Amino acid sequence: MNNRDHSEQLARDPSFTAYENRLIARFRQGETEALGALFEMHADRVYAYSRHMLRNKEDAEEVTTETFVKAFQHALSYRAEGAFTAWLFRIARNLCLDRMRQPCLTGLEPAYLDDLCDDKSTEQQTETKVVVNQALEMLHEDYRMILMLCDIQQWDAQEAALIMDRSLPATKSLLYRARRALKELLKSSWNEDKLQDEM
Amino acid sequence: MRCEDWQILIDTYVDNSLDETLTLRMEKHLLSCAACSYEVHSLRQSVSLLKANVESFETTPQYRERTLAALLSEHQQGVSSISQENNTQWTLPFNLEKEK
Ligand SMILES: [Zn+2]
Repeated sequence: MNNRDHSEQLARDPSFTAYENRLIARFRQGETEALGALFEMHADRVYAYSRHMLRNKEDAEEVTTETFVKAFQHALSYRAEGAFTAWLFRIARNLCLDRMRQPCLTGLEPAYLDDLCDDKSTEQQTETKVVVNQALEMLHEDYRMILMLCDIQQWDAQEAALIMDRSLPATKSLLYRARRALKELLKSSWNEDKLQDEM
Repeated sequence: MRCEDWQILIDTYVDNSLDETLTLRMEKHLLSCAACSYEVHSLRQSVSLLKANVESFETTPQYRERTLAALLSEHQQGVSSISQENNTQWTLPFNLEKEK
């Protein structure tokens, strides 16, 4: 299990939420160790999300840093403790959107082709990975965002609605349209024979 | 219900958000309808391909170390500036830097 799966599994655990709430309470009382623990708990998820949205390592690192700076800056006035992580992601989402609206300064990375090819993968596995990641990159930013939240990072629709600042029905409708758009891209990337194998 | 009506419900079905009665009726329809059945299969397959193949990005230890140190030092400066000016809103120097 990699770190990301592990942290996603942890985030679904009620005792984890209680632990997180205690950390936030401790942070508010001025314990700096709690700040470190909160950062370590969420840094990878915020970074992975930002990296997929911005498609660039430097931008994703900067947005991750800014997200935590803002979160800790406002943590003292923030009240809804249960949804701290959703709130954190809402900050990250807004920062990503700000950056995506700016003219592209750093440039996009080519679809991680090198990262995707490791020695252990078969040619077919590598090809599938490339096709899936390119499809995700080609999607409209709202589609990419909702798929990241609901299908990859496993937020439930209610939490995603909070992060995306949309109603629950609008969030679900966006998710369904995003899945269909992804499906169409995957279909068009594979010829019929391949489609039979993959689909 | 006709096939077109079921097609509208496919996304909700794939999302496991359809109520129990409709789920059972949908499953019955899927047994006899190749088009809807293919649609359900390809949607589910797309989502699982995405989950299984999406590039997993992680921060580097260097980034975490550097950022944590910066967050802690900014936090400490923020706290000390609060104790100096008691009733002002707690602000991190990071943002003050940016506003200059
Ligand atoms: Zn049908």
